[in-house]
Amino acid sequence: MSKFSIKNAVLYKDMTLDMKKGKIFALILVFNLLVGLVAFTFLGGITLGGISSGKVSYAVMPFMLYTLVFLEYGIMIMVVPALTAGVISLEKERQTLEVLLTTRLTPWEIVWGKFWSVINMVGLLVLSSVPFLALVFMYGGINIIHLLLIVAVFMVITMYTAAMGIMWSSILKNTMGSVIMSYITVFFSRTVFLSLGIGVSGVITAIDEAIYRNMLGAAGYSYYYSQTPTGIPQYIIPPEIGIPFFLLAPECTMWDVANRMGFQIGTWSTRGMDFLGEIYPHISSGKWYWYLWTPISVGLFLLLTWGMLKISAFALNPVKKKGKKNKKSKKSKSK
Amino acid sequence: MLEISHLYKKFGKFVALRDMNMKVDEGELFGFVGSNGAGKTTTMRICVGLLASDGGKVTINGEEVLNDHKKLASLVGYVPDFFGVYSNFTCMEYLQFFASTYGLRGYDTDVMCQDLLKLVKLDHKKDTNVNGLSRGMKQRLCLARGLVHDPKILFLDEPASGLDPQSRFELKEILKNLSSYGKTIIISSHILPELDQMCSSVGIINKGQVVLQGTMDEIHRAAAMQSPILITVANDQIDDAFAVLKEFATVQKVTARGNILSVVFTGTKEEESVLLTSLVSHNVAVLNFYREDSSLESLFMDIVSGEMARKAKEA
Repeated sequence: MSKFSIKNAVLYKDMTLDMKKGKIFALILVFNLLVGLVAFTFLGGITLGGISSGKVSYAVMPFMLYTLVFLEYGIMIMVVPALTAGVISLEKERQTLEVLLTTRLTPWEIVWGKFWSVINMVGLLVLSSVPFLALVFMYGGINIIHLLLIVAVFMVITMYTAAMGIMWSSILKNTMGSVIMSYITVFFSRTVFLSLGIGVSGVITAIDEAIYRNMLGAAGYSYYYSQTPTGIPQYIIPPEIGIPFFLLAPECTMWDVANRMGFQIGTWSTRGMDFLGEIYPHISSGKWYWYLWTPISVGLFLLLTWGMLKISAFALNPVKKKGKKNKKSKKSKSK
Repeated sequence: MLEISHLYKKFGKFVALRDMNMKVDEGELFGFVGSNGAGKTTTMRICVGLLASDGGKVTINGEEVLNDHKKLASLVGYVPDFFGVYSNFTCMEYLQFFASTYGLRGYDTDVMCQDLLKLVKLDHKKDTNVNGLSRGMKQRLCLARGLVHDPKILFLDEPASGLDPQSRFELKEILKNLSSYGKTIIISSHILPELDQMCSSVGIINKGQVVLQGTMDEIHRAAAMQSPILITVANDQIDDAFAVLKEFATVQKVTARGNILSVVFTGTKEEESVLLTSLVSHNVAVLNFYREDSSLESLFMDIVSGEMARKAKEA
């Protein structure tokens, strides 16, 4: 059987080239050293605490899980743009992209192959860290479905991040520009939606409160928690307007999936992104749609990933303007 | 086989191709000649799907293929004027990879890749990293890559540029060999004497238009027509010779240097013999009658310098 048995030739090439470079081995080593250090430090603390107090709280294990998941998430933010920003611009720089474009591979197949080669690499990193993540099972309190869900959402967010790098790599001609733009976009996407969510929700709360105070004087504030004569709380501006911004913030999705089945935080009775109801008095916790936070958010990320990959393929297509120009010339001829 | 009709391409205000027409028959080793910026690479890039045209069409075996990427890719092979190699691959892996981009895999493909390496005389470098190859070897490997899917037409853009004489000779031999198998090859080059030796037909492109195209014999004839006929006559018969030559409409210009007359003659070979017979029948003692040797290079220079002269006149 031929070595090139994976259907997407670009995917196979990238995987074999990267394996030859040894870059992936160094990356796995450093990644696991970091994750391992944090995991064993946490576990050591729990164990020592258990020895001295004679008991180990189940509640600590989810915290360990959150720490490890967000550590991996942080490393992924740093590593994925570096892995993706050069995948296509390097092909341009070594002049192999043009040759690839003359083969039967379509721009979409090239982009798809590049995309999955990065996802496979990150998947390998995550898979290699599973023994450390599995330490959370030591004292119970976490089930494997929960862990698998977290990993699945983590991979979706990785795809979203990777698509950003691939998009810039396709649009820009040099790798340096692509790396810079990828990091800017990744950090921007991590902060801007969170900030917009916080900002918009805060402003709405302030406006609504001001209006109610104006209408009802000192009773205004407590009115938030009461009901109108019709039995339904009424707000001038719907308080949920800020929620879509949070939906596009990957940190919120990570938190939702990690905490949804996890441990109670402080005095909050909520799980996952329900905690917005704890912060903003207008937003109600416990509604059915909070349980759809992760599926909706993941759906949005997948949609955005698809869109960015499509943009990448469009950018690579050497004859993309032909259709438009031909149409134009046909129109002008008919005139 | 390949027919290009009314092809247009503009880059901003610069018109790279204007109403370009060209035809290449099956099995030809076609030399594509033109100065820098004449439109050779643009034509090739449009033909292999790397550039969109602004008008016109390209047909292969009567089928318009520019809008069907997969079909076009399987019909043409392209070796650009750069290498485009993955340095971490061995020669064999490199060919296997490109075969896989055409959906070719398995034992037969491996055997075919080995045969291609043999064809380009790199079978002994099968397991060598591409990085370790010389420039000439890399060019030959790229040639093998262009052939990996057995295309109907192989486009080579300046394949000999930057190669040493030995590598150029080896490349030329391989191309001749390929041509003998019936492969249609279109090659652009600046090294005209080499094209002159190996091509079966040639197209000369100037300012985005093919100004002359034909088989090598036709081109040589055309080149010969560009050269004046040199007629040496007896010293006392120069005026008689002038009188005879003036009778021919195909004689454009006659100049004399001593007893050698330089005649710009636009007639055919047959008309040339009629001219000689006429001189002899008028009792002009013709001591020598021949055309200066001409080549593809001289014809090309005549076309380009003619264009330059026209420009100078306009200025």
